[in-house]
Amino acid sequence: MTTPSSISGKPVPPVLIAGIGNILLQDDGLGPQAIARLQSEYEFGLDVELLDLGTPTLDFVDYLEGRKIVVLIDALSCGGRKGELLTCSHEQLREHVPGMRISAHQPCLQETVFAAETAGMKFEDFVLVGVVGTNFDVGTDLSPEVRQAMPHVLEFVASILTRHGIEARRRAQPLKRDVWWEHKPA
Amino acid sequence: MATRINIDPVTRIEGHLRIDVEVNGNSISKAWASCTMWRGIENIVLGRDPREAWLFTQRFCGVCTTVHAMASVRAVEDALRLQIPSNAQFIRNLILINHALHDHIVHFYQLSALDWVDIMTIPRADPTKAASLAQSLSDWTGNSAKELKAAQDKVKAFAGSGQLGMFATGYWGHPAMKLPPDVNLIAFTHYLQALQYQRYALQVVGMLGGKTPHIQNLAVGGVQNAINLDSLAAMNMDRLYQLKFLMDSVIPFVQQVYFNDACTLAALYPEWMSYGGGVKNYLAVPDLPMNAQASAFDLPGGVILDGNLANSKTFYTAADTEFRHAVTEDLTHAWYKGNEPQHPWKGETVPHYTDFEDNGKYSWVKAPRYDGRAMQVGPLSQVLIGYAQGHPLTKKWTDAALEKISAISKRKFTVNDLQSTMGRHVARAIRCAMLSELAQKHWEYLVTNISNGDTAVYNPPKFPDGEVEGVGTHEAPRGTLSHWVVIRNGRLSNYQAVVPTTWNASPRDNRGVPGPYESSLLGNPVIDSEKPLEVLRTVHSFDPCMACACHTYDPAGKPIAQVKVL
Repeated sequence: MTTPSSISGKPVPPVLIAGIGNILLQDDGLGPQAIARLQSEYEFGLDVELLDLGTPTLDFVDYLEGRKIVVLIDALSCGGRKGELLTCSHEQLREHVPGMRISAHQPCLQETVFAAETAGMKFEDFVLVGVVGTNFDVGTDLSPEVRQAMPHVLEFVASILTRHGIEARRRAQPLKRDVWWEHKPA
Repeated sequence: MATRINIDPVTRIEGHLRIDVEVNGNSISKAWASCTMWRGIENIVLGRDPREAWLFTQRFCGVCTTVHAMASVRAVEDALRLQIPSNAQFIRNLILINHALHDHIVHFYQLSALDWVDIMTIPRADPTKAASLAQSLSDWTGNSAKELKAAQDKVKAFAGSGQLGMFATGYWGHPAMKLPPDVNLIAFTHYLQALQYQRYALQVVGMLGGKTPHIQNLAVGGVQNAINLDSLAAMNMDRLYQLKFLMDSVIPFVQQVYFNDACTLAALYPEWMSYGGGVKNYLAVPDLPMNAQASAFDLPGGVILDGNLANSKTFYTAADTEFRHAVTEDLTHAWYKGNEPQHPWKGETVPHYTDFEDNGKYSWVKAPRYDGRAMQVGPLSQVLIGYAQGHPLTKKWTDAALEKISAISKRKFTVNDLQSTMGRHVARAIRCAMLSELAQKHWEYLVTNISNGDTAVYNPPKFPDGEVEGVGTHEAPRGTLSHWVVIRNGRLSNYQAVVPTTWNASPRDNRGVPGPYESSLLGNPVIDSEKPLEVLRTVHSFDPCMACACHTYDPAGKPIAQVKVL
């Protein structure tokens, strides 16, 4: 099978940090919000790609091609107390029987993992980092519990990279952010 | 004695769907479709800059993001009477076509094939015999015994280990599963191949849109793709041929595999060409504009009433005057305040929740009506309307499908038999085959236009003082999508999205007329009410953009079984 990298001729960075979730549904926006924060508060090398993938279905598979390390950030809908940070391995995601969802986007995650394996992709590390959400109503603000957990999510993601010998440095001065969902209506 | 079955939500991606049916003597006598999540998400764009609305609206739904971006910019452009350049039309069309190719392939194989294909019979299949059967049905090169054997080994591995993972919750061994093991093996082999081929179509969306899901290249007034044949950074010939390469890879899969499999499935489940018709009023809007003025379209639109193809109405623009005036939303059985049916420009979204009331309010979905009528939308509507108008491309693929189904089943099927559960699957495959031809055509439009020296992609919008209204339509994979905007002094003062699933999952209206899901279920067989596979077959044939969980209730409403199905 031809890969996107070989079609475009551009190499794919071996490390992907992807935020998943619906930014318009409060705590479900944890993933995209975490990506925006990582982009402004951390510095990464060219071997790391950060992506806000929103709510992908099988679109997701393409972003996994050519990766060695994949870190997903997503809101969790069960499994712990509100605002608790939990992680889930590739293995756990694959074997999890549908019905008890770990992530809010479990159906697509499971199919994605299956599709990636079917396509022969292998990862050195594949981890889901999540926070148990409390509020999934319409809005772009995180609940206080998830907001409090956010700095720990960022540190935890950075620590996963560091463990693999990949640079993830906290900026002394965060870059200014211009995120569309933070624009205020008139 | 009536048994009540309830199909409840799993995912919040787009909104929860719940289906309740009452079964009497192995046949469905009553049905309710309910959306259990409030979709007042449109309110989030009120007061915002209309040029940014598409960024928000494409996050409305987790499945069809691209289509909400497109309908949004079209709505604002309609309000401003703003024409976009030809290149922008073609680039948008290529995105829409490829998004739909991906979506249809995934719907058929990943989201609904396992309603019909029992993969647990696959270990008993004979890959060599299956390969010769597959080769007799199609010229596809991926039907070798080796390829089928590899797929069979995959099933043996997970069936043998007992680790079924995502296949743990299928209705394996259900008496309504009728395909022989060899056919199941062929279908599952294509299921695996579909995982690969749908990616090519998505890569086109990603290359043109910058990213998928959530494309980045749109603008009110056109697109943001810079065209410069002499620049490595911009859209150049090299990039255009990469797109063509990807599309040329996915097209044979659509025409030789998906189209064939849908016809074969219909021929082997002929009884499903007689159930599940439901609402036989059909609506589709024209799409794929062929020029900057959007005065001609490659896909037809119109209206058919009461299943009568001899008397269809044709739409000539993306939102004909009649369409602009005929759409209303009824709130009688929806959890909103308001008594009279509302036009979307005047629409309000003020929640008024009661419990689930069989004869009162029971859904967060409003009941869209066209000239007061419930309408079915989706590929079946698209195909029937095109066929009724004698649209050549629709006719070509529809006749090919009917001929193939009739030949395999040795029974004569006509276009009217498509008004059924299985007909919706066949119509989706017909539409997908049509789109695969149009992918090449619109690529040629774009390349020809650029080669003629036109590199324009954007006309800047100007917002007038005072109030303007607009509607943006898109004939999406699941059917007619319309975004209705009111702009006051350059800011959004009303925004309503009437989405395909709202038409199809509509609750009853003020006259008690049920929506398409509800009426299509009436008369459906249910062999085993603890395993309501047949309900899922009909609901899935509409391609609802959500996952379902199935609960079975005895008449007292106590759960006696629960099975979750994607």
